[in-house]
Amino acid sequence: MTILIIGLFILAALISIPIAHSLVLASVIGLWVAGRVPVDLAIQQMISQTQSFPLIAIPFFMMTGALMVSGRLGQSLVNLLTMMIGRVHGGPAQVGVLSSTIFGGVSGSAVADASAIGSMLIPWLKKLGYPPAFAAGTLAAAATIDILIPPSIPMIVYALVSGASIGALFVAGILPGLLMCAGFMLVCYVQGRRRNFPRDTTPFVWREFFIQLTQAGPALAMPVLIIVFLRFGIATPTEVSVMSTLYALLVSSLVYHDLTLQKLKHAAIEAGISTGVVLLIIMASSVIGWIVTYERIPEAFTAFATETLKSPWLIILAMNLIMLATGMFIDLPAAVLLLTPMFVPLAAAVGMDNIQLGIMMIVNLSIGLYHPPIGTTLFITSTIAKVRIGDVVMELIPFYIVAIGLLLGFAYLPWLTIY
Amino acid sequence: METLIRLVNGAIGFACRTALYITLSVTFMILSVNVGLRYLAGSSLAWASELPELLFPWMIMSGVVLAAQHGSHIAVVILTQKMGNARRWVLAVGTLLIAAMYSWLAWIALPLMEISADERTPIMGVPGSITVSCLMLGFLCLALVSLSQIPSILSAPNHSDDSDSDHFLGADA
Repeated sequence: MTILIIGLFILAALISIPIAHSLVLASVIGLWVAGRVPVDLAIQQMISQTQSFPLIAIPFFMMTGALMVSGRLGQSLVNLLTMMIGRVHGGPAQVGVLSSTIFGGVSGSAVADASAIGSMLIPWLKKLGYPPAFAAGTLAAAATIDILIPPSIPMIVYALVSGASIGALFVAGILPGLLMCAGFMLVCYVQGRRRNFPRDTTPFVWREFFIQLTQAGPALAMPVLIIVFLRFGIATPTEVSVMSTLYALLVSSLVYHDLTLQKLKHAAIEAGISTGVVLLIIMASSVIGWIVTYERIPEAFTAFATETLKSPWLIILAMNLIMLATGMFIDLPAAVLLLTPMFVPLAAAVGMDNIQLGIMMIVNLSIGLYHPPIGTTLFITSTIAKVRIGDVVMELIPFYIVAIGLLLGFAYLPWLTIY
Repeated sequence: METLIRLVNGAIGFACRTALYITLSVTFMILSVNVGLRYLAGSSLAWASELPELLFPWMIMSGVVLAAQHGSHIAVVILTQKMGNARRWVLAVGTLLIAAMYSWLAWIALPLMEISADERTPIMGVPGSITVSCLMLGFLCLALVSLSQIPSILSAPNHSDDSDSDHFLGADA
């Protein structure tokens, strides 16, 4: 039945049926053709996903991101970072990487990051004289740091399936996120120096610096507040998401004075649509996840991998290769839902903690976001920069090397993710 | 025909936006008040997690339908973009399949409503059929939205296959 479902899914996706609908179609037709389980099961599985209290965090984290970045915060953040690092080699591109990392603290979505920061910075980088393909590549890769810095939607989804603590995952993602940021900034520095990219020449004025720092302060404080609230058990992840929205509303009305009914309605619709996109994938994947478990595929897979590969480091390598390949063809939340039940028992068999597995999985799958053919952030930034995907992919090669190098570190050095 | 499609789409869009505003704001209020109460009065609302869980499916399905109207569900168009004139027909068949599938799912959900009517939530006593009906309505709206898109797919001009930055409609990770 699983093979039939995979075949149907690929066929449906190839004729441009949206991924979420393809997953529903494949699982429903698979159940109907196989006839071993009633089709009602698909609906029951989908309903069970809609009644999950932790998932209620998703729309509120989405709304927080929409409220924070659509206002004056985004521009203040970019101005502040330009004053700080715009003068070094590749500085303006590094501003993009750092902006995405900080924006990661107010939003949990790489796609929201790519469109918000990308539409603000790519035209600016082009105007400065940066090659459009490099600008698009930098922002496509940097946007994925967003899902490592708390709050992170994929981490919530992983926690739901694996049983890991959302708070522990959020904390574990900080160091990998910062290392990824440092790695990507290094790529910008080296490329900027080698290719003599333009640098910011505006004189540094301390007064202006403090004004911008005050304006960007609320964004810098948000990830800290989220971690403090979760780490000290002050509120549940869902309550923290609601409080972050409240914080965004207060900051928008009291600090930036740009909260309007129109902006609020726009943020609500944006959050609703993003939630609908992610949740339909989660609902559809849960049906396939149930079928995979029903057919005892995770057990068979674990037995096969441990018997044939034997060595833990080879098993971890194989897990990484499978995750990387999956991330290139399946959307991130769907991949998390499909791979987690397979890999949690396998990781346990080789003594890997499920927090480390979660971070490793999210880094692996995030590479697929800026790699063809399903590179969502890649397509967004390429569209903004109006450049061909092929040219952007060439510029992304050093970013892939850095990401894979760091990924190996997260896979084989547990102290990078568990502390 | 065009007016009817516009009317149906407009009504579905209006209903989904309204449901989204209501569910988001009520959930926001309940959870905010609950956190406040826990720290200020040392108590909390017994139904503070049950009501948001009941509202969440309505929020999701409104978002799913609005995403379908806005073309925000991710699709791979690498192959269909190379198809020339056949592209429209392939996309129309795909959309028709989606409409048929969601109509079928709505039909299957109907008997489930009767079964789940007896299952009540522990605190508020709300029947489970409310959530099933939400999914059923969502599936019906998805079927209608998909059907309404077929005429525009068939009459749309062909995309040139050299603009490879237009491969996806939108997405979220």
